Amino acid sequence: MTIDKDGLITSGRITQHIVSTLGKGPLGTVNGIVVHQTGGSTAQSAFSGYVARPYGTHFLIDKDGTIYQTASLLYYTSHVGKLRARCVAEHRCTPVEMKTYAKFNPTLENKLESAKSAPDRYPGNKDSIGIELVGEVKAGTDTYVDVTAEQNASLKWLVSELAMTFHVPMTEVFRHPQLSRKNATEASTATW
Amino acid sequence: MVSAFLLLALAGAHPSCTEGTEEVPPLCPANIPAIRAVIVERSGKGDHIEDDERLDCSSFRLSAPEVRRYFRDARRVNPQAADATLDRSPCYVAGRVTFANGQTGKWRIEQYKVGRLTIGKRSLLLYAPDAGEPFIG
Ligand SMILES: [Zn+2]
Repeated sequence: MTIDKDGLITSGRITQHIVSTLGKGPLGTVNGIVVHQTGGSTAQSAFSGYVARPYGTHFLIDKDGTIYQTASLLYYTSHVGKLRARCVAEHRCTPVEMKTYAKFNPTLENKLESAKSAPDRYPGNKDSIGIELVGEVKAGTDTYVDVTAEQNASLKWLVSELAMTFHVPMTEVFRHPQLSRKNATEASTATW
Repeated sequence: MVSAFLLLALAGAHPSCTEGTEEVPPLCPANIPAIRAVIVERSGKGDHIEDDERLDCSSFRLSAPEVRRYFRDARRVNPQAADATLDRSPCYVAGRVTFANGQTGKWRIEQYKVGRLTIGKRSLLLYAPDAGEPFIG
């Protein structure tokens, strides 16, 4: 995988579909990769969503496994949201942190976490690469559809290439609900 | 005139929506019809990654007047933008609603101020940033 001066990947496996408004500001050191599901059933609905509202990721993988690059890797995008306390999830908070986090306050938790450096905290918007998998919530339920075999094959390749290129340990690749408070079924069937 | 309207519709933009930030999605008018009756049916803990023992869903209950107030104050949000910004809570209260025009709907409201109102096949994702106790976030 090679990346040109505009942050675009040159690879026969990636189709460019850049939505320039997704890029928010300079992407710092990449500390992690975050995997999402879009909530919609088609790539087209995700593209129109990006145009209408600039929330999204660097890559979108369609149900047939087609990989689209949707934002330049020079920029970060808005896709993570408020961070959960990593030390709570990993049972390694200091006594002071334990005391602070004992009373549940997601807003304060995000503020305190954001002030830390990775990997003491989870990666956020400014230091992560986001990948969205096209996938809706099943009608009448609160559960995302399964990720397709084609999507998982493409995801595996993409994650491995990005991890190698940006020196991201595989332990720093997350499903969105791991690092932010989301529906737990989002990307739960994604594998890499 | 027509093309301007089409452009607006295609963009999904609404002149009354707020701009949106990295923490709050664009907030749009919810245009919920006038409500005749609200029925609270159940409360519980949904399918979310748990926040260990710090999270106690039993503290989140809503009365019918509180649900009415939520619908009065709630704004509509786009699901994609909400995924990138808003916290979702496993603690929820759910029920049914009857509107003044006779239509009925189902609703589910979460502790972190996000709600869903389903009327027929139409589903609205809602957020009430200023909702007070027992909401948090
Ligand atoms: Zn997500």
